[in-house]
Amino acid sequence: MTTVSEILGINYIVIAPTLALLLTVIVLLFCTITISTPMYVKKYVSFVGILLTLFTIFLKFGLFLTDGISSYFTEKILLDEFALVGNVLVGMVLLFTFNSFWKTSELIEDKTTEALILILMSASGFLLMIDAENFIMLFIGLEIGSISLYALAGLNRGDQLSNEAALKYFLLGSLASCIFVYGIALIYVSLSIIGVYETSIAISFIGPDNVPLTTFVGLILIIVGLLFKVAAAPFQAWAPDVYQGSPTGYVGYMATVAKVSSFIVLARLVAVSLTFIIDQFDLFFGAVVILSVLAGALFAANQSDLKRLIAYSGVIQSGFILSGISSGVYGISASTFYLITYIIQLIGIFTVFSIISGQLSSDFQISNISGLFKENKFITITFSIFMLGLAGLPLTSGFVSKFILITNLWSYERYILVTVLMLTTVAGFYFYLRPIWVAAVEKTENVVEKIQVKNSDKLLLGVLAALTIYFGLLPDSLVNITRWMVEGYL
Amino acid sequence: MYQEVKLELIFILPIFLPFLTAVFLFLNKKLFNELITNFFTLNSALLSFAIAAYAFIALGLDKFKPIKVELFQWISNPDISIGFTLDGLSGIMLILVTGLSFVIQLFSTSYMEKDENHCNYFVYFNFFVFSMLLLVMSSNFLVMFFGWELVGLSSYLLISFWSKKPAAAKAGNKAFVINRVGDFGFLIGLMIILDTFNTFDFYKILQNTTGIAESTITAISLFLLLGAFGKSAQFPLFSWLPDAMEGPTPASALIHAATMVTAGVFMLVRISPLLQHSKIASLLIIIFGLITALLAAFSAINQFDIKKVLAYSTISQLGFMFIAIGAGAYVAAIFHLVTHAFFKALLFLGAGAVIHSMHHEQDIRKMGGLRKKMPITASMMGIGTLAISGIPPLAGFWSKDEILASVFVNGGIYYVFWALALGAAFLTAFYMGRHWLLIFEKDNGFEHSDVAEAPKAMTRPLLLLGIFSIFIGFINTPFFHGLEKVLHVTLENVEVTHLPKGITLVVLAVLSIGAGFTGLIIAFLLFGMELHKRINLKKFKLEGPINLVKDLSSNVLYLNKFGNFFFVSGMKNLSRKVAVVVDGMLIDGSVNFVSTAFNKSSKITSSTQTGLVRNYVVYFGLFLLLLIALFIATPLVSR
Repeated sequence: MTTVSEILGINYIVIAPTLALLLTVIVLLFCTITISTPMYVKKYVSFVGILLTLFTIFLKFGLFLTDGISSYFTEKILLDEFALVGNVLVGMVLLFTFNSFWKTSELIEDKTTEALILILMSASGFLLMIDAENFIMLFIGLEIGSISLYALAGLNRGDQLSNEAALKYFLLGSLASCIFVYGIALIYVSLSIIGVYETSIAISFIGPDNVPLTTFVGLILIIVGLLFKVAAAPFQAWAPDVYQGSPTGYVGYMATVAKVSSFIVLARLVAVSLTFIIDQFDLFFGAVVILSVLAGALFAANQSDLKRLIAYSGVIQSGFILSGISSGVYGISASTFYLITYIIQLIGIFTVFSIISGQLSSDFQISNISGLFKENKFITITFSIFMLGLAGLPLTSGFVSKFILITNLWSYERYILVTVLMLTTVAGFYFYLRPIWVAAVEKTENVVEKIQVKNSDKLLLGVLAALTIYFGLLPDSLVNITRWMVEGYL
Repeated sequence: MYQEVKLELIFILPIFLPFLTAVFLFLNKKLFNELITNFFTLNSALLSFAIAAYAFIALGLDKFKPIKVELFQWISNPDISIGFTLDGLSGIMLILVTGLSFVIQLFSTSYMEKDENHCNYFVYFNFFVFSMLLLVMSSNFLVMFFGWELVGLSSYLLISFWSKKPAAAKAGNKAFVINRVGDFGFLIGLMIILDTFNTFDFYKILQNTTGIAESTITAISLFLLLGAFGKSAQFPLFSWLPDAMEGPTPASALIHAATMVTAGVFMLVRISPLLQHSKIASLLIIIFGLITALLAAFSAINQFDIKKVLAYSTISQLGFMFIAIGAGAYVAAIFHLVTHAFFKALLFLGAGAVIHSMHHEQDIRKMGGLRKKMPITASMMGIGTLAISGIPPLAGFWSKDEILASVFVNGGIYYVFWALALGAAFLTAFYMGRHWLLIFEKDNGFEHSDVAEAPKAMTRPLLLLGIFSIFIGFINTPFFHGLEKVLHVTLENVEVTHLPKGITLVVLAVLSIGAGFTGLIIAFLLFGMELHKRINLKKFKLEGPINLVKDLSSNVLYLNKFGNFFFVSGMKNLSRKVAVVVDGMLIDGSVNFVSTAFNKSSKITSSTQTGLVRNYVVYFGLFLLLLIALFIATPLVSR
């Protein structure tokens, strides 16, 4: 018994978060198809499911402390620092966005359970993706997560924009998946391996100078598949349309969870698989970073739809995060810091949007928030904090993350990147400050009326804004966590 | 260990107690009447003084070994943290600030009675005390800079307290703007420090001065010196202080006489381990100190505003402290700071009492003969006058004599400096004697029937300060080096100039006493006995020179007018030209160009976002191929 499971590496704790989410999904499904369940039961079941997931993630830390970096299920599931941080981040995203997505799901009455199941399944898929050691496993996780997101985008069937968003997301997403699979195939063809660690071992075995071109192209295709998910330019075209069309209450979850998992996987790929050949990717990553920040800034400058604006800002932020990931181990830690502070601000902004415009709305014009400050002081202040955080104003976490990232780039002597990133930051102030101006300063006739904010929303926004300020003043704790994540890969 | 922890905690309290009081009073401004406000503010001041005294005594029992508390580290590299320290130097300042704050607040309760913004006054006052303590208790330059800026702010608030008066609002602005020049230098100094030492911590910086190039140290010292000049009203940045007298008199007593203006002196003593390595900086300090001391003393001769005389006298005395620092006598500088704080606070509060009794009349020509009406005030101000003139055994004598002797002992060119400083001491005695005589003695033919002695809440602080002005000098005499022992650890690595021994010291002391007495006697002859009316001035052809001196003195050598003409008007014209040519055409033009170009290119790129999936797929494929091509073109890739 023990021997078989040991040989196969079967360990249920390591996939426990995924299992916990699956269990929740099954319970929810069971509730819906058998008896008519009241709403609050569904709410508690899903919330308890999320808490259970967080608890199982906590259990994984224990496993990591005893076993260290280790692989399970015949080298398909990996337990390392990246997996742990990624798991925690996905769990936190679930926790912080629960409020939004629950209220949205509650509104689409006949499909509440479907929506919850889609969300929890996508989370389980992304968790699997983060944990994957094998590229095939990675692909499966990515697909489980993504397909649920496609459906989630089009859940509000009465809305034309929502339908359009779902279809676009699906078509372009499947294209990206094709390319991703093709990349795996190319690597398998050239090296006969399909693992994260195997790749680096193979490369070190044949020597970085003798790596065949097919491997390189395969790796690039895999990376491009992931870049699509984080909406880095030039693969960003889907993001604004999807963000705009999808129900506002879901966008916060959709945007953050895909970004978190893809970036963690990218970071692991760079830190582990590409260690010996990372120099040769400099130009590639540099081109993507510069394209991302420039395209994002140019597209965002004249945007009148706030959801599209945030989508383009996401393109810029992806560029920033990528610049760190491709520049050394401390760059990865800086990027992770950036990623964490960014998703906090992103969740906060989409929570604000969904409070103002309703959970199911699709497009969200800048005129919707004109004169917001007059009646809704709390919302405007938290919104401003998040926007200033995205812009990178000192005293917010956005400044510290940019500062750490850029100083690291400077020490790697990437002066061109530093210049471009700084200039983009300056340009960024233009379109990040404009919504604040419209909301708080500009004189206007039709002021937004007082919006009833639930206490849970207030608590959530308060916590997120406080975290934004806290990491801006005392970033030490978070910096140490991200340093711990990469320490083993120096 | 236990003892240390307790003490560390306790010396933080006096810093934040005034802040809490300020916030508390501010929040309950509408609720509290004068009595309740007074109750809170006085008790809080007394409590912080008691804690400060306890901390100081405990420190003394521990042989003045510095205690450092780091509240938290903000950034680890470069090392920037928020921390406080208690050593001999900051301990003295702690006692001084909290003690004087209590005494002066006691005086203020009566002086500010029935003012419509009574509570606001105490809010600002407490806020000032907090900022000043932040400045002196800091263990690094960053916190010191916070305090430095905050005392500027609270000083601005208090100068323009009666902002309905245009003069007060203007004076506040002037003080703020001139201080900005100094702060600018201070900030640059801080940046050089951070660049050189990679930390702001005093101990880490001041103990690592050996390996640093002298030019760097000189640069740091000179820029910090500019800050000290601004805050301590030294030539050429002194003209804000006389104008600052528009504020309430007790506030002037604390801020513009006893504490805030000495911040520059305090800071220079704090960085003395750096300063001693820079000969140029020391020489500049002593020269500018001398210019200030002489200029301000000369300007005080023919002033008629009761507070302006004291303001110029403050500037002059600050000049003496700078002279001491320049001569390397850091202990003497702090000693004079302490004694000056007491007798100048006494003089200011006395002036306040006079102004109060005269129903806010400040012209000393309209006073005269007040001695019989206000005996306590007159005698206490008399003590203050004697003390500042350097008459033994009052406080001023000991400190001033120590400064003069320290300058003398350096030799060489310093003999000239000593003679000039002695001249300034003589002038000091002269104008202070005139000041007292004009107010209290000389009969100007005014009937002061409604003038009476100030209320007890005012005379009691005067009596207290009077006693201190007599005896505070004994903390550091040639026979008992008390202050030197207190500052011993702080100035451990610093070469402090010591007093000469034996007969030289006695001769120097006699000379400085002589200067003081001569000044007072001449003042008495001129203004007490009115000698100039009895002798025929025309006969000796003295009328012209005397009028010239009077004119120059009351116009401060026309320095203000020169400054106004040269800097203010000149700058206005220049800035107008800059605004039109450089800003309007060059900068605005290029900025507008950039922004329109950005907007246009943004519109062009936006048109590529068609919303059609087929276009997106084309972009996807195209850019993928481009990226792969780019990758293959990378020179490093092996084929």
